[in-house]
Amino acid sequence: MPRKSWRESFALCSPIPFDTGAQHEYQVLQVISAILKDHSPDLDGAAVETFRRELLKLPAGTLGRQFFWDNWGDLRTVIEELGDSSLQDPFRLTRTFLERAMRQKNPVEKVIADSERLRT
Amino acid sequence: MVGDALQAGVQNEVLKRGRWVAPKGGIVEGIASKPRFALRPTEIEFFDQVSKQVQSFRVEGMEFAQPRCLKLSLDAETVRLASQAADDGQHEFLDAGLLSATAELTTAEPESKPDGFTVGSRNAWVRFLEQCWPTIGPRILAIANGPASTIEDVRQAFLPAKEHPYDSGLATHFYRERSQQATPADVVSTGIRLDGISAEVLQAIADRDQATRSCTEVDAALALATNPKERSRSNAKLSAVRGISLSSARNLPTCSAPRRSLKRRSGTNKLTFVAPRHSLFFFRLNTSLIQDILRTP
Repeated sequence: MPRKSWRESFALCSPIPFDTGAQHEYQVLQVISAILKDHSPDLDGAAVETFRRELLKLPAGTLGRQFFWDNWGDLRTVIEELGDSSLQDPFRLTRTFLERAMRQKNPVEKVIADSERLRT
Repeated sequence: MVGDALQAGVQNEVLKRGRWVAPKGGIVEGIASKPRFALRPTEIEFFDQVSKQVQSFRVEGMEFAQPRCLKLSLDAETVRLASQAADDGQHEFLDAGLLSATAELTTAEPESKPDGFTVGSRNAWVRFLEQCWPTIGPRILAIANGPASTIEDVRQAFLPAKEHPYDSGLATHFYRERSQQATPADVVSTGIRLDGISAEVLQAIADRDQATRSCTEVDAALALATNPKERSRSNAKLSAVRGISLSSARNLPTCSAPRRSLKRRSGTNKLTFVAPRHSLFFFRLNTSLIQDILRTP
């Protein structure tokens, strides 16, 4: 704004309530970041299993839970493809996962994704 | 109404504690003397010597309660906004040093009222940043952590968001390349370089004309030559001169281009310029060759 610094603008706008929930992409990043942060020592060689276990533990109503469950096959593939290098970078893992999960899938891929879906 | 006395009184109450102590007004102590004429101000201004900013408050009245003391009745809206800001806990920012003292005063300004446009913009930005965060987040965080970051870093950070499917226009201002206003010294220096290159271009044109004249002379000599041996030698020389002259003429546009570019850029105060001196050197080399060949018996 012409006559306000960003600090002033922040001070003015931050108390205004923000009712909209977090965006889908940000939810996914938050979940992946949390898993990577909490389980960084266990991830070497067992990243897929760790992610699977942690995603299954997500309580109902958790942001993004259904998306992760529905697209578990894509996440598993991305983790395997990126290897251990990706496990230090939640942004890269999230970006690649979202690109893969949100692309248009053909009928065969849909069937495969459905068969790989996480279930309790 | 702007003075150290007012700052000492009101600013201490308003700023340092971060909230209005008096609900509808304040006492300003340390007034030097009562004005000799009646004042009925509707607005008072405080000058913050740290930030050099002036902050305004609307007031409904003012009176001298006692010697060296001024009682101010603040406008109802100002009081409401200021109280709300204080209740929202902005004094925590102040305590944490995140906000300057002046920043909190701005909450009392009438223009700081939340409105649909501001809130809508804020929400749009939050949505936009959250949606793009996996892509642009690392760079933005790097900028936040790097005090030496430049606006170019910000531009580069936001560029991937240009492909954002929903709201890519929101960050349009960040996609533009940075333009910098040239200083008068820059304009003078660019002008001097322009003059230098213009002189070189003129010299190159003169050299080319000289080569053309030499070609004409050789042509004339060739027409007059009767001895087949001389004629053959003149032909070879003429071919060499023409070839070199043509290549020199082809080089001339590349020599003139930077001049035009520099002229144009000096008009817009842009400073990027690389003089193709190698072209001029090549041209001069060629004209020297022509002259050497012409001098050869």
